[in-house]
Amino acid sequence: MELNEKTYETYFLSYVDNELSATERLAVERFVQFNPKYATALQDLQNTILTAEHVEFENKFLLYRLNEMDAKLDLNFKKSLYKKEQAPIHTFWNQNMIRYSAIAALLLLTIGTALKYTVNKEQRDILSANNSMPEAKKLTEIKRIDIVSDAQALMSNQLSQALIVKNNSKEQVVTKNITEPFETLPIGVENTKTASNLSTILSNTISQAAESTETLASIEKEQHTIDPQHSTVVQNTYQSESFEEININETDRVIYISSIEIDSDKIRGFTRRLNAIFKRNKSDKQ
Amino acid sequence: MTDKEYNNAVDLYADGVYRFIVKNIRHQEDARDIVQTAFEKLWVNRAVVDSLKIKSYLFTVAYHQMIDHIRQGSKMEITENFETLNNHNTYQKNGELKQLLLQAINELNPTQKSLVLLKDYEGYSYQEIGEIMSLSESQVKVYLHRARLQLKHKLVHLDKVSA
Repeated sequence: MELNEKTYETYFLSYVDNELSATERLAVERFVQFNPKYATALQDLQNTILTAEHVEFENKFLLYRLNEMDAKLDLNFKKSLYKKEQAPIHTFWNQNMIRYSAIAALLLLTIGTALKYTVNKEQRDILSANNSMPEAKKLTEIKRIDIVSDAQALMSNQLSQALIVKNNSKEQVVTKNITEPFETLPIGVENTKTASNLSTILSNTISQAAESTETLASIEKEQHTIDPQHSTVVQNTYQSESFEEININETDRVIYISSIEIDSDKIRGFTRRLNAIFKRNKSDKQ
Repeated sequence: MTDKEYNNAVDLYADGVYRFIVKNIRHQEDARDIVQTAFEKLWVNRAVVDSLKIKSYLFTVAYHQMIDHIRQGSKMEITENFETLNNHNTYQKNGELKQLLLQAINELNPTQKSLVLLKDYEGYSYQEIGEIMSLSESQVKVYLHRARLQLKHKLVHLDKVSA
């Protein structure tokens, strides 16, 4: 392409960009020298060139790569830095043990609470019965106990004396009678008589015991007649457990099992449903 | 490429690559990040990079990083202008003309600006610029000539306005 008035701009641009050969550059300079009016055009394009400028990248050393950066650790030393993993402990048994222990503890706690509640209830019933007993009744009770103890003491004394007499081989007579209803035996009586007397004493003792028993029965009878309401309470003190036959025909019956109350009506509905389900399953299988 | 050649490349080209990027995006921290990324890639690929083409490799990587950065558009806020970056100017014929030129260059699009910077600052040929910017030689020539004419008209217009 020849340099002329039509193509000078392209040449000028290539000249500014330093893309022309030495010959072409010389041709451009001559063209401008012989055509001064184009010198301004070339100068305007040369003004668009940026002059050299220094801009520094600070802390250039950060970009350097040193051998120490790629230094590798000894493999054995590296392995020694890691903690060795221990074999996992099979915790299934331990977990089960904890679970079973918790269930057992819960059961024991429940049973213990139920027993304590039952015992406390019985004690409360006895205490309430004693507290509600009238003073006269208490006195009667005390009297009854005294009579029983007296009768027992009497029987034991009579028996001990009879044994003493029986063991005496020298036919000595019992000189002292402890209780009132018995007679004093004379000294120097024969053995047969002594034996007969001994039998009499025994019979008397038995009869007195019988009398005491009758007295006790009469007192108890009297007790029944005086206050039939409290008689049951007293009876309960001697007879702590009583059993009652369950009336099956009753519709509104409640069965108590320990401290759990089960309504039979609700169970009946539940059992009916279960029966219905089982029957349905059977019929489906058939 | 050896470690020594790499460190020499840092000494030789770090400033130039940084200048090229910072003049384009006008953000010093982002420009530093882009330069660091370029040298990181050079280190990673040192086995395959020809030691004679280290400079063009660095500019190529840095240019594409910059394009990605511009496309993201997240940090294109101008934190400093060309005037503040010209503290180390070694030569400028006319201070007023220089100001006008910098103002005109800032109005160019990124491709034209990169073409001018690579040509004037680094002295690359059309072919080398084409390799860096993934353009043909004729495209570089056409785009660069358009950029020159655009700068010329702006300079003339601004000169008239200022006069």
